[in-house]
Amino acid sequence: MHWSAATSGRDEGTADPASDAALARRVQLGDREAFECLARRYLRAVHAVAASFLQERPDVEDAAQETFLRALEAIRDFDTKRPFAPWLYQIARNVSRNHLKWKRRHPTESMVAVEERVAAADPSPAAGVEQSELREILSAAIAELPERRRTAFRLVDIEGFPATEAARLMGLTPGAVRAHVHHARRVLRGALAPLLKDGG
Amino acid sequence: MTMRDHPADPLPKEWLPESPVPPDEDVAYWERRLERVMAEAEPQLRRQRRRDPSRISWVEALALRWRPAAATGLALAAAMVLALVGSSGRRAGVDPRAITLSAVVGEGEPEALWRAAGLQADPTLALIALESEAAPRGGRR
Repeated sequence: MHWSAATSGRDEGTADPASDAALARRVQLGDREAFECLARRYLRAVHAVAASFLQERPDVEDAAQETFLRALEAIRDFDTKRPFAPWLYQIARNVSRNHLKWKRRHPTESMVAVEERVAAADPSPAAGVEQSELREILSAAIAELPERRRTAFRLVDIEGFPATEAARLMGLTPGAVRAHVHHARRVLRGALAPLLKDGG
Repeated sequence: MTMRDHPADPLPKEWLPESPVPPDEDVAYWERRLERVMAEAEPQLRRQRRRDPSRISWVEALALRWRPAAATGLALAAAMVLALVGSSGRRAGVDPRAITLSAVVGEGEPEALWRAAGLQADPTLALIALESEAAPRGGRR
């Protein structure tokens, strides 16, 4: 069972009847099976993109769900000569951004608590930094990354997508994705440096 | 793992925040998610199937694809119907001189024809009027 396009081995624009373009054409005519095939192929990727904006699983699930519904509503206007993955990625990105905006306008208790803990974390070179504290600080630092850099970093380093697959999804070259990941790692190590300079 | 590693090396896994997205291997979770997506997509898929040209009649397909043209056609048809109704209304007040004598002969019954034309008149006078109308055109009878 494969839950990501990374393992599906499909190429864009080929005559393969199971290519994204062929499936999208069938979905345009209301083919349920074709839609299920595309949803299965991009299910995990769409969740991963949503997770680069939203931190809690129910929010990620809601955003992913909405992404597929929006894609289905808009598929009649999708040009099947163009790659499907970046089109879907753009929808996921827009939906997730809207969810995030809504979350910020309506913060839940748990969000406030996390933000307060992160703000209260001692940035001084403490001898022993708790793992959970370190994770929270790193989460906050990741959230501060520019959007593409953050998404590339999350897809590759946290979700384990190959750079080539992240690139296909984001509509970038693999080199650009690797560059984003490289810069993100540097920035994050820099953010952790005050906490860890005595640690190691 | 220390900060002496190369700054662009991957960060240690234990430092990274836990992902809210389960791994590929959690098949049960992903099957549930897929079921949910499909269940919510079903109404939209049904709508899309209805729009599929191969599943609808040619009239519906024409209406969908040529909606503006169909609207114009309908408007034209309505205008034609109105024009016809209007002209038939005017016909009710037909000028008796417009009825030719050959029509009267063809009908064989001047009075019946006269009444059919909706005029309350003396059939004898009507016949005289018709004959006098026809006479200057060459005396056809």
